[in-house]
This record gives sequence, structure tokens and C-alpha cells, in this order.
Amino acid sequence: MNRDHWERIQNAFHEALSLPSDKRIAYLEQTLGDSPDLRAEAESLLESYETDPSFLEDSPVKMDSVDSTFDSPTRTGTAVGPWTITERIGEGGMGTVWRAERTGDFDQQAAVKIVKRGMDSEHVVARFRAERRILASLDHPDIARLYDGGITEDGLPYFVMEMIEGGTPIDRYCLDRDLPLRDRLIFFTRVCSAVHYAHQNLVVHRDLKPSNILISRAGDVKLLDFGIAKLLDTEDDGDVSPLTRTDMRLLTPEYTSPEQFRGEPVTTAADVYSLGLLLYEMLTGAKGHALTNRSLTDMARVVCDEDPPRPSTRVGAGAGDVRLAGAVPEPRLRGDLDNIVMKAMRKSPDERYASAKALADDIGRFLDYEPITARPQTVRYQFGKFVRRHRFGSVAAALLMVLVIGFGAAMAVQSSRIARQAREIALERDKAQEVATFLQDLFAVAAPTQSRGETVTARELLDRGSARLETELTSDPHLQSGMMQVVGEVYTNLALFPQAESLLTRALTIAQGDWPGAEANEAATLHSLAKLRFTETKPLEADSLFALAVAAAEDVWGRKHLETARYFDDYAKLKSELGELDRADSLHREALAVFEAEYGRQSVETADILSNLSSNLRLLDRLDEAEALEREAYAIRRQEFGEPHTAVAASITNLAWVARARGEYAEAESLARVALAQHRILYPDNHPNLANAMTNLAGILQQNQKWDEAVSIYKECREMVREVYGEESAQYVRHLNNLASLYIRQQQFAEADTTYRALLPLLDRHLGEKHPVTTSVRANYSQVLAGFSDFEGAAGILRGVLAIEIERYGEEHSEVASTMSTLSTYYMEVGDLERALPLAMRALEIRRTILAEGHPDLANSLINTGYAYGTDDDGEQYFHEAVATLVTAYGAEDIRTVRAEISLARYYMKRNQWADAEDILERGVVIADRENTPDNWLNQWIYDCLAETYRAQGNQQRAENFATKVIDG
Amino acid sequence: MADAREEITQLLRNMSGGNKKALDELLALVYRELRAVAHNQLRSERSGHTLGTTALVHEAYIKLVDQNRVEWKSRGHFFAVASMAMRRILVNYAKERKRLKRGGGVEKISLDEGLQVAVDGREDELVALDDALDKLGAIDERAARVVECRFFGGLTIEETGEALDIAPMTVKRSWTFAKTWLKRAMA
Repeated sequence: MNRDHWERIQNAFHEALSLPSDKRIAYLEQTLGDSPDLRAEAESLLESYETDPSFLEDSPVKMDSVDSTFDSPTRTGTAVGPWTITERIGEGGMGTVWRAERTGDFDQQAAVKIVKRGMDSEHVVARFRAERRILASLDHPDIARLYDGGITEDGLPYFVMEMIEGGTPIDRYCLDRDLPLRDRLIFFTRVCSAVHYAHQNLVVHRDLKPSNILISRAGDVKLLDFGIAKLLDTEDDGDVSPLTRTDMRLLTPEYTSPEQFRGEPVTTAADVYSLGLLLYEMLTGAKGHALTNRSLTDMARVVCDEDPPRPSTRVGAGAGDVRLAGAVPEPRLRGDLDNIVMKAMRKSPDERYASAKALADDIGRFLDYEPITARPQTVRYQFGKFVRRHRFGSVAAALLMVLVIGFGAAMAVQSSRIARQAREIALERDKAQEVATFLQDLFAVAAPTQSRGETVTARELLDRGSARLETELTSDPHLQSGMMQVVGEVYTNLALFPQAESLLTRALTIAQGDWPGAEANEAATLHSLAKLRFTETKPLEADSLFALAVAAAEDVWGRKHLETARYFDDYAKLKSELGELDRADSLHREALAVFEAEYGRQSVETADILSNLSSNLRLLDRLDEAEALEREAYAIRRQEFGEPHTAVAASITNLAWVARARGEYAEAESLARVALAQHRILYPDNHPNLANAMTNLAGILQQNQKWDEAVSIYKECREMVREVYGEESAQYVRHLNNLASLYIRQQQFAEADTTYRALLPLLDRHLGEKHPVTTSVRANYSQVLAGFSDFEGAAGILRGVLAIEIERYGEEHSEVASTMSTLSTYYMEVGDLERALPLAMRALEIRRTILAEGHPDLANSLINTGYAYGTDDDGEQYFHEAVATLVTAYGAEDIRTVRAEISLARYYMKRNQWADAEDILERGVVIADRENTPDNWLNQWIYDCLAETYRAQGNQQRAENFATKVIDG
Repeated sequence: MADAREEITQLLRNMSGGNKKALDELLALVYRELRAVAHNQLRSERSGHTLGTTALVHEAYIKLVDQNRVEWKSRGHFFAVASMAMRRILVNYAKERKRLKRGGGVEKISLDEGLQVAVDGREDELVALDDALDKLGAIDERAARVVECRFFGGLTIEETGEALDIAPMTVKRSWTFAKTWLKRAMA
């Protein structure tokens, strides 16, 4: 249907609906008569409408009005501590205010402020306990008393305060009554005195604004919420960190001081600044800074850099002739009052009034017509402001990182670290202004006004930024290479490898220059490059880069340094990937020791190391240790992050791997499903981590014989990975291999062969012959050759694999055992029992040492060993043990058990024990026919054996029965 | 996560041109926020006071919206995106649930209880609606957005208008017609 038709039908539909129902059809005929199709469509829709008008009205997400109902359940009549709530008074930025009376004492009234959900309750309450003595000691007639505080039954922090009857915010009070200037100033000095009193008692208000300063019915000034802002502040005292929106939610941007924006320590000077803004508003009726509709960056820029217009110009002719209602006339403000207000609001705390009292004193002088202390801004002041303008680099740096963090959940793990690096770079140096300018400009592009409706993606921002890094920070190699390194890591994490490479290579060149501190940047850049190669799955290059980075880190920071430990851990991951497991283990443990000392055991940082260590232990077949460590990491992460979370999901995946390694496949499958479910929620559709989670599940599904689901998952993954990494990538290689090996498991050799032909040439190019993936692909490929009966060729490939694996793992390893076991079967196929038997027995021996008793993997080795004995009597016991093992693991009716039994039957057949073979085969064929289709290779094998068995016993008819079931080829 | 607000603001900027990736991330973000609310709720639980689905979702909304209150221009946008995100969350849940039901096994999937309740018993409806909505979007993108806001976002007519920057009257027309069309498409 085209758009015009759609509109026509829609119009007709609505018109018809507005008519009485008996006139509707006639109307449609009239309007849409020219087009029977449209008319029919409209009629059909009308009919559909009339059947059930309530369709879709029951939204699963119910929300009557988003803004006003956050605390909608009324609390009237409920108790909050010893107070009973009687009515709702109003809403504030941080919660709802209720009137309350002391339970059983109607005379004592109070205002109860219940902090809204979403704030860290425990933190607020802890803060309150720490501060309550000081706050309760504030005893000033103009400061509302804080009586009590705690946590409500439903877990929200509350504060009980003195009830101010009929209070009006001070600005409204002045403006609505058009109060004379003198009265306004007198009120203002009272406010200053109260603030000064609090300051003398070491309490800073932090959130002074008109709505917190009331004039009571009796005409008294009352300051509310003294010290509350600090209780709700999530940052610790003195913590120097740029303001984030968390804080902005609590504070009111219009009244927030530049130093609060900059994340500098908040002192009494911040209140002086707010007082300046308050006065500004009391005089002009306008806010000093108009901040609505601005982004945080913008607000920061305005508050930190821009002086508001002087009060007199705000109300004067320049302001557009319209005097704001209640504002003081311009001539009264020009000069001294302008200067007083502007001095209180200076950007630098040092240049403001030294105290609220000093401000009040200057007002006093003005009222007494004495010369005031405030002076207009000098050129020097202006210049100083220019220099200071660039000081909030840390804000911008943090913002950049936040921007980047938006780019994929995988980034979350990295983000804090990158943000910290950025902040270090920005703060460590006294030259943050260059970063600031750079990043600010970077951000300016994102502002809707500048991008003019074009979509500017963060990716573009990064590209523009990195281009500018090259040209604009040349005066400071430390900063330049540092920023390049950080942005390069960001690119790596976004899988934008060429961009990452060019930036990091450039950073390295700069960091290898001759300037103080270059060594640290060099180490960091080498490390970033190594991680880039690792992420690109170019492990060989990564290896040598890591070696360089680690050596450089040891030189710069020493061996026991956290930074060095991080490098160790990353290096260990690579070593593990390369199969150098012992080396990986010791590197991980070295990192672990440093992390534990630094963060403690129970920290998410340490959990990362524990998890990495565990993965490596799993590869080393030390499963108990691996599981214990991963469970520990899981517990820490879950407690810290909740579920689903990338780190938690990673732990679950690892636990699934452990379960799989133990042969607990049902457990492994259910864990892998949980992990995948979380990944599907956490990652976008074609994210590589999602592909990995799918692969993990598919692998386990294979173990559990759920072939179809596994194949479809593998195919989905392959496409996903092709899209993200392209065909020339190790990731793609890996996924092709998965699919191919599954074809082998299903004996679909032709499909497997095609897949491998696409795969093998990619291997050497990307991974080298000793890479675990290369060896495992070759091992799998040997099975394809075997499938085509080229056992010599298959054995040749596998011998090479075995040599590399022994070199990598030593002999006592499950992979080695598995390779030996397979190789022995190839030898048997060509009748070379002399080489087959020792290999089969050695494989069995290894498995008996490393596997738990009853592990199903033992069965394969047992069967192989049995076979390798040929017709020798000694072979039989192995078959029986294999069958017994599988019966215990899977049950007697399982197809895998049947397979082992058929092996025993084959052994009997070779020994001409036909009757014994017949019993087993007849039992097996029943199960196989029930479980599989007749064309299944196992069924075919059984039919073939049965035909041979009956033929040997002279039962031609039964032999023929089964022979006809065998499909040729 | 303290930086969530910044993320949202940024994402909103990015999505003004319909950046799919930004949307995906917002989805993840809204989800995370939801989880965080649920998590906090559980932690601060006293005496069997349980927050129902609606309240849970509601609160995540409020939290996300409130954190953006300074960015008024984006507020409407935010609702629109959040509704889209909710569509995906709910539909994904519905699909997941259907899959589990088919599988029949006892899976240890820890679905968020709140969402579970929202979706419970409506799996088929949600999945069918999702498909039909795609088809509708191909003909009339705006109508599809309206349905998203109204049904998956739970927004009122007025809020939907604000979210999509169209008049409430237009929302109403679009909603009535789209609903009717969808009903027939899903029948």
C-alpha cells in the first residue's frame, strides 16, 4: 500500500468513525467509491475497530503520568520514626516533603523530607549519622532545625526538620511584593548572617537557592536544608572529581559554583558564590545563569567561564525595555550593587568575599552610603579569567570518556580505567588547558546547534579528535602521546583496528623521543599496541610487544607496581592463548599478589585476575582449583554488579567450561544457556562476545547430542563474525572450524571438507603452525581425511599435531591423550597394530591420571585400547570397562553407550564369536532405530555388522534383510 | 553507574539521526538501569514490601528521565527511545520465555521478576505485535512509533505527542488507526 492510499484510508476511517454507526458504510462508499480496493480496506478496518476497541489498551508498562507520580502512594497516616505523616506539602529536587506530627503529641509539628528512590540509601544514612551531631548543634533563629533522620520502612532516607508555617521563597517574597531595595538588602544580610553562623560551626550549605530560603508568615528568614546536600553527595569529602550528573541531580545547576563543577573541594566560598546569585535574583528577578536546555558541558562552560550580565544591564534598557516584574530599577543597581554582586560571584573562590559576613558588611556599607570594598573587574582579572577558563580539563576529559563508554557494553570493563588514565593525564600535568580546549571543541560538535541536524556519531568525534591530536598538542609530547595512547585503546575496544594502529604507532614514535617522562608513555603505548594485536588475534606479534611492554614497565614502575601487574595479567592471557600455560600461571599469580595487596581479595579488580587465573588452570586440567577460583570471582562480581552483567556472565561461562571439562555436560549446558541469555540482553546483535557465548553453548550442545540446535547456532555465529571481522581474521577461522568439526561429528565429511578447504589457508597466515587453533583445526582435518579413508594422510597430519601438543603441554594432558587416541585409531585402520597399541595404552594411562573415575572420555581410550589389541584376549576387558563407564554416565539406553557396545560386537566378530556379537547387535539395533533415522551412520554400521554376523552363521535370509538396509557408499 | 546519565545524553544526541548502534546501547542502558533499580529495591527490602512490575519499570523511567531533567530538549526524545528500548526488552523476554517453554527443561535462567510479570501470559501477543509493528512501520513509520510509545512505553497521548513532537490530536488519530490495523494484521 502506498502512502497516499494509506492517508486516504486513514482519513476516511476517522471521518466515518465520527458519524453514527449506521451512516458509516454509506460514507465510505461516497468518499472512496472511486476505488473499490480502498473502500474494501477501509470497511474491513472499520469492522475490525468495532469488534474490540480495547485492543492494545492494556500496556504491560503502566504509567499514568511520568513526572508527578514517583512517590505516588500516599504516606498520610503512616509513621516515620516517631513521627506520623499528616499531609503532603510539596516536591523538591530530592524528594517529597510531608507535614508530620510527633506521634501522640499534636502540638509538635515538623516537616519530613523523604528522599526519593534512586539515591544510595545506606550511604545517605551513614553520612547522616556522621554529621547529625554537628547539624543538630546548629542553633540559630534563622536556620530551620534538623530534628532527626533515618530510613523509612520501605528503605528511603528521610530527614525531620522544623516546620516553617506559610513560608515563601525569598525571591518570590521580594518580587511579588515589589519590596523596596533597602528591605531586600536587609533580608539578604540576615541570610548572610545565618550562613556565616553555620560556617563558623563548620557547616557549608552547598545548595543555597531561593527555594531553600523562606520568609515565614511572621516575616522571619528561615534557611532550610543546611548540610543536607553534603549528606546526599555521593562523592567523598575532598575527593577531587569533576561533577557528574549524579551530583547535578542533587544540586541545582543555576546555583552551583564553578569549583563544584570542577570537582574541587567545596568550601564556604561556594556558599558565598550562591549568595551572590541569590542577591542577583532578589534584585533583578532573573537568574544569573540561564542554564535550562543546556548540556552538562555547556553548563560547565557557562558557569566556569562566563560572567552573567551585570545586574543593572539585566534590568536596564539593554534587556529589552521590559522591566522584569518586581525588579529593582536599573539606576539603583548600577555601580556599587553591580560590583558587590559580581564580586560575590567571581569564578575563583579567592577573589570573592572572604566570608558571608564580609559580603553582608559590604551591603551594610552600601546601605550606609560608605565606599564599598568591591571593585570593578580589571584587565588583569579579565586575563586571569581567560587563563582559568581552561582549567576544567578534567571535566572535559571525563566527559570524553563517558562518551566513549557509551560504545558497547564491552567498554564498561575498560571504562573506569581509561577514565582514570584520562584524568591522570589531565590532572597530573599542569597543562590541562590544552586537553580541555581540544576536548571541548570535540564536544562542541556534538551540541545540536552546531551539528545542524546531522548525526554526529561518537565514532566521528573520535576521528576528528584523533586528527587534531596530531596537530594541536605538538608542544607537549607527554600529553600528545598520552592522549593518542588512550584514544588508540578506545579504538581497539571499538574494534577499529586500523585507526588504533595508526594512532598507537604514532604515539610510540613520540614516546620514544627524548623528553622527561617519555619512558612511562612508551611502556603504556607498547602495552596498548600489544593489546591491539591480541584483540586482533595476532598473538605472535602481541607476544613480542608484551615482552617489550613488561620489560619497560618494570624499568619505569618496578615489578610490584599495580601498573606492571596489569601488564603481567594481560601478558599471561596471551601466554595462555599461546599454550604456554605454566608461564601464564606464574604471570597471573604475580599479578594476583599485587592486586590483592592493593585492592584486597574481595574486590572486582582482584576478581578479574582470579577469573583469568582460573581459566588458565582449567586449561592445565587443574579443575578443582579452577572452579574454586571462578566461583570466588563470580560471587564477588555478582555482589558488586548484580545480574545480568558482562563480568558475571563471563564467570558463568567459565564455570560452564569447567563443568564441560569435568564431563558434567548437563550442568555445563544449563550454565551456558544462562550465560547466553545474559549476553543476549547485554550485547547488540552482532557483538563478538555474543558470538562467543553462542559458540560455547553450541559446543556443549554437541556433547549433549543436540546437533541441529548446535549447527544453527554455529551458522549464525559464522555470519556474525564474518560481518564484524571479515573472512581474513582468526575469529572467522575459529568459527569455521567449529562448524567443520560439527560436520565431522555428524560424519558429514563432504561438508566438512569444503569448510576446511576455506579454512586451512587462513591458518598459517594468521596464527602460525604452533597456535592451539591451528593444531586443533589440523587434528580435525585429519578426521576428514580419515572419513575419506585416507588414513595414512590423516596419521601424517596428526603426528605433527601431537609433537606440537606435547611440546606445549607435556604428555600428561587431556589434549595430548585425545590426539594419541585418535592417532592410534588411524594406525589400526591401516592394520599397524604395533604402532596403534602403545599409543592407545599411553592415552588411556594419561586419561586415568588426569580424569576423574567414571569420566566418559575414558571410554574412548578404553575402546581404542581394546581395538588395538586386535583379536588378542586381553582386549575384551577394555570394552567391558568402556561400556560400564558409559552406562554409568549416560545410562544403558543411550546411543553413546550403544556405540561402545557395537565396538565390543566388532571385537567379537573379529574373533568369530558370532553369537556374542549377535546378542549385542540385536539389542543395539533396537535402540538405534528408535533414536536415529536408518540413514544414520551408526545405524548403517549396525546393519552392516548384523548382515555380516548372520551371513557368517549361515542365516542368509536375516543377513539379506539387513544388507538391504545398507545404503551403498 | 554514575555515568549513566551522561551516556544517555550522548546517546540521545547520536540517535537524533536514527543511529542504530546508539539505540542498541540505550536499550542496554535502560535495561541496566532497570536491573539496578530492582537490585537496589531488593537490597533495601524490609518486611515483605515488594515493588511490582509497573512500579519497577516506572521507577527506572523516572530515574532515567529525572537524571536528564536539565536536558529538556532531549526529554521527549528520551521517551521515544526508551519506548523503543522497552519494546525490545519485553519482546526479547517474551521470545526467551517462549523458547524456554518449548524447551520444557528446567533452565536456570534468572529472568528479571518484574519483567517476567509484565510479560507473563502475553508472550504470543507481544511477539505477534512485534512482527505486525514492523510491517506497520514499513507503511507508516510514525504510526509504529506512536504504538511503541503508547503500548511499550506506557505513555499517555500527551506524553507520546511530546516524545514524537507531534500534536496530541495527531497521536490520537494515529493510535486509533494503527491499533485497528494491527488488530486485523494480528488476527
